[in-house]
Amino acid sequence: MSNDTVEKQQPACWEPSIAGFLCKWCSYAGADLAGSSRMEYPPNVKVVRVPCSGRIDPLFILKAFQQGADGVLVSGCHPGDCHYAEGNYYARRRLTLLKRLLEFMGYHPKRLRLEWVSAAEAREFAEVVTGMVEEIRSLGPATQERRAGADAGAAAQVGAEGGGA
Amino acid sequence: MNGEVMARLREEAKRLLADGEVLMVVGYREGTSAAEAIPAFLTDPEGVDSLIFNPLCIQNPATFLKRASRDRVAVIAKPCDTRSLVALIQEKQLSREQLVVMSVPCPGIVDMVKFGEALGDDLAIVESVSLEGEVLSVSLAGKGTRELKLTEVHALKCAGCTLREPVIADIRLDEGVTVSRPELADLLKGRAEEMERKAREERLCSWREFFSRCIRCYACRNVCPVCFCEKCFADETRPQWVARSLDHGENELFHLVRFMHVAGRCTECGECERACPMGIPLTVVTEKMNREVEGLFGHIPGQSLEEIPPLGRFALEDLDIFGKG
Repeated sequence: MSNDTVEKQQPACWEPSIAGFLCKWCSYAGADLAGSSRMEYPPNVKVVRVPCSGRIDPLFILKAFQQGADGVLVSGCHPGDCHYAEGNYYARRRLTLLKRLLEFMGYHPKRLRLEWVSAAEAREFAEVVTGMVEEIRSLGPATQERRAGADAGAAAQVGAEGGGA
Repeated sequence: MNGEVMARLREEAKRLLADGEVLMVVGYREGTSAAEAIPAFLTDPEGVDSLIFNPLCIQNPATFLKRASRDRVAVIAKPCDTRSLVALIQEKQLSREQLVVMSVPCPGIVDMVKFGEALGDDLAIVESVSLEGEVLSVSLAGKGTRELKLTEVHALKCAGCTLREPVIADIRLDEGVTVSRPELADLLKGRAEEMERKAREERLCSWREFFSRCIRCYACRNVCPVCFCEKCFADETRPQWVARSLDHGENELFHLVRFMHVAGRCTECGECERACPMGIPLTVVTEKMNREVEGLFGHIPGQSLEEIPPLGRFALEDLDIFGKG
């Protein structure tokens, strides 16, 4: 194994850090509605807005893991409802294949979560995030899946922000 | 290779060049040592005698055509190479009309590592190599001839090859040649399945070890016939997707993204693994990916000129794993 064989001591305030790729027209709007409605859910998802789930290159997801994400959430419009008609169909094929590849590589299957959330589904969004944060919390940080230097930066950052909701 | 077929190969190449039908013939010639073959790029009809074809002709010539001009070119291609040519035509990197595909009888190619091990020190004194039936005759300077059974030094991908016919061909120089052993096809597939049988954490450790070896020479990408982006994501600096550091995580990032970028287009030619100087078993992943592509989308890359690769299209009834938590 490489130079980080010693398990890093998790700081007592370790919080899951999840990257969320949300499509602008449905999922991001749904998340926004959750906020406007003052729904309470954990703050651990760092949102990256994309115009469409079809824009998501597997590169983004893999890079997120390398940069310190303990989990990645991808959410788009329901099939049939894509703002661009078919973008999410391409995403569906591509990301299904990515999930198979990641599992083959030994990534824990729960670390990549794929969802369809519409602009009206604020509650569903809050539930997805709540569920995922708890899941990742129980799995622990994704130290094994990424490069040696990433954890120091990620843990320090989250620690500084203090505890979540 | 049969002397008659070899003569015909050279004759056809000479005719194509002399008549101006093609600008260039892409084939194989003897390497700096007779123990290896290297690609040949002929433009002079007088040079055709340098063309050879034997089990040492391991390179996939399609990779030399991936940023080709529109000039007509003849390619001496093994059946598996023709799949890569089809893949390039599907994605409009080449036109069918500009190619003259010269299909050669391929009993399989040699694994150069096994070949080197079989010959040992004699590798340095090889004068010529020829195939007679299933036997490789290797003549050695001052030591007569060594005979090796081809099946003992076969490249893994050839051992169980069932692709006897080229997918496309204009000039056929192939008669029925069968030195493959289909029962060994399972050996090739077995590698990915063996990996799948391991526990998740063990798999993670295995890949971590493999990718720790990567020196980011990009030989795998450079040799790949379907990696033809003008600017590869790995070379991009704004933004810098992949750090210029030999960290197993960054290495894995490069490889996993590349596997996804070639997914549905990779024809499992195996050149990536052959080119890798660090012995990373890349074809274990390409085999797995192609099995998934076939299972999920019913597609086998490089078979039909008109097909669009699966990630460039979709079906309403595609499997949906979203929303399952």
